[in-house]
Amino acid sequence: MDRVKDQSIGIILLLDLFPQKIQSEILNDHKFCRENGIVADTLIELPNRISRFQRSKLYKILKKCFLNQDECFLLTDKNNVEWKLSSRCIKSKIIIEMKQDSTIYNLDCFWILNPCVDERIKRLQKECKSRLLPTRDIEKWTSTFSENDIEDYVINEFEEDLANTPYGKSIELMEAMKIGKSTYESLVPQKLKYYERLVGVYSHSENIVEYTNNELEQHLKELFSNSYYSALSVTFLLSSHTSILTALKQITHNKQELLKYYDWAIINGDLISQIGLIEFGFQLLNEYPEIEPKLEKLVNIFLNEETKLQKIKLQLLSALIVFVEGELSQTKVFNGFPPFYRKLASISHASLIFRCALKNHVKLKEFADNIIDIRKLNYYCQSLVDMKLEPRWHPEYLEHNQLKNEFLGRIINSFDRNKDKIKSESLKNLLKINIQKVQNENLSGVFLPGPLEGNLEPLKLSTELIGIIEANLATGESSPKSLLPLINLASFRCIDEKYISKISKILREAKHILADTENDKAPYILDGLAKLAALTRSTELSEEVIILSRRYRYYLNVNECPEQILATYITSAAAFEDHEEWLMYIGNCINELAYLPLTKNGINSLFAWLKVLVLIEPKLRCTCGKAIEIIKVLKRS
Amino acid sequence: MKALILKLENIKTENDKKLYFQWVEEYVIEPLKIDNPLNYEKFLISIKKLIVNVSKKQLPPEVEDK
Repeated sequence: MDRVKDQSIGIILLLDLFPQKIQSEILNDHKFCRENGIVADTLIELPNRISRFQRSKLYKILKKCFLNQDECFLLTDKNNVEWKLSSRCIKSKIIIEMKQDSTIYNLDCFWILNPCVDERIKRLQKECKSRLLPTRDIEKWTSTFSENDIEDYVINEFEEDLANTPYGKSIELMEAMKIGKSTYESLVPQKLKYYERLVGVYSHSENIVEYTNNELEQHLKELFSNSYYSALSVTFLLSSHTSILTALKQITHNKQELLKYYDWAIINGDLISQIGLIEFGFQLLNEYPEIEPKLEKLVNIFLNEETKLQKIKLQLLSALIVFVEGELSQTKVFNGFPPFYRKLASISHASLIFRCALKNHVKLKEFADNIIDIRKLNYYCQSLVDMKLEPRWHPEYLEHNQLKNEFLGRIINSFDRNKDKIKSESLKNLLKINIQKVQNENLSGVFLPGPLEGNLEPLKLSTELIGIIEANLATGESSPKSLLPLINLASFRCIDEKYISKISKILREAKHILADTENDKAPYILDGLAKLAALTRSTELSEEVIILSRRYRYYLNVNECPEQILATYITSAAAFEDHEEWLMYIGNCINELAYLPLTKNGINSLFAWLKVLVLIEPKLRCTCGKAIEIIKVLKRS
Repeated sequence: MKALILKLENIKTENDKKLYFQWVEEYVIEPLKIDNPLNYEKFLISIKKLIVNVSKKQLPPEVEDK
């Protein structure tokens, strides 16, 4: 016993040799403290920053208050202000009253300290269910709080766990927005457990459709075993892919609650929830015809109201996803998980922030402008690196105009699948007009893959399209006319390897000179060829991209903006499925860039990119370490 | 990490210590936490291990008496 005590004292003395920040981090590690016999007596801040108290003293007095109702106890806070504490029973709830001069606060947040085990457990289960805690966690806490004597730190662990839920985070976000102060960490949680409670626990699925059928189905069952309305509220944050709404159809629904949720979402909903409700509504029209007028209102928001506000909302959603994705890449919370799972979590959490911003009447345009650049580079680099695993989705597709196209595409597809169920003529006409608009304006963005579809197999080419491609390639010219049909179609359709080999051959025979192409248009063709190489996993074409980039280097303005060509190289590197080859390809390209006569801007820009890239993939240091050192020296000179 | 601790040998007063820790927090810990959270986590783990290992060692009698 003495030995353990000596060790604890030793640890406390040793902690003093470290800066305050490290000390706090270590003392906040409950497991470390428990294992080493350290009792940390932290400060407790009451809601709305009323006051701060030493935890042990506050809890001791509160326990007395619960036991001796209407009796008054004195407690001094950290600012030496004396408070009178007592408890009262209001509507079968025991409320703590805190009095200081004429100020009185009635607090209901200390129920967990109630010494009556039955009352405590009853309330605990109610609170856990309303926060949609998984059953295994509710069982764990029920068992812990069934004991009579509970350590103070366990209470804090429980409160932290309750806060680590979508409901808990939305309260934190609302408070942060209200006071106008937030950190990156408060906006984007760094605990995987939170995201698992939001979008489910990942186990093995290879793409979003598999994930929906396996892990998500289980997650939805768990969510809906608690409160139906709260579960709806969380589930629609996950509506970034159609398959998720199909899975939601398997749940037994409560009509009244569902209609109430539609009414709420029409006015207060975030864009992802609204688009989810549209797709879900189309599916349910036969079972719940009452949804139709509400569905029409939602469709109108997306298709009929070309308002400035809708544009700002799209910009904010895009900015929030970029920020959350970038922050999650920076903190590596999703290290080792497939990109589609991280993106599902990012988009869902971004939608939660969006919802809180709407509820708090935050100035949406200013919010979007402030947040967009914070983690843009991290987002962009992470998404380019992700292309190795999910080549069909390019970071540019998150631009707000493309998001609008994506939503339009989802509405049209959903309408097409369920058109027989629609009774409203005005809704039918609205959708038909928009389909016509897509055809007339040739809105190809509507058919581009969504953010979670980066590794889904595209449809096969039709005979008609094969005819167009073959006729264009038959000319053997390295002109846009020959190359563009393939480049454009590759995003929507599965392209045969033989056509890619043909393009590579044409480029070599033309000595990598693009015919009928103005030099300033060459970067677009080059970028298109890089995407084509990635989508078709053609290493042959990716090598041609490097040669072509050397030929057109002058027009690419490489010395001033090397990041543009670097983005093209990383896109093209996705052709290599083997990780070592992928690293080698990017390493060679970066080394080549480092030896160019870069301008000061070019050096700074390349350095910033390299810093982020090696953070995302540390193994890149093995293939482009020399380039990093060169750039560092150039930066200092 | 050892380099950071070794520096303490040159610190004579409480004020030196305060200034040194301010510098460590600003220029070492914060950038590490932001730029490389995984290494920051590893850094914390190794500090915890070091503290536990040192605390388990028997102190020399002259120190223990103090």
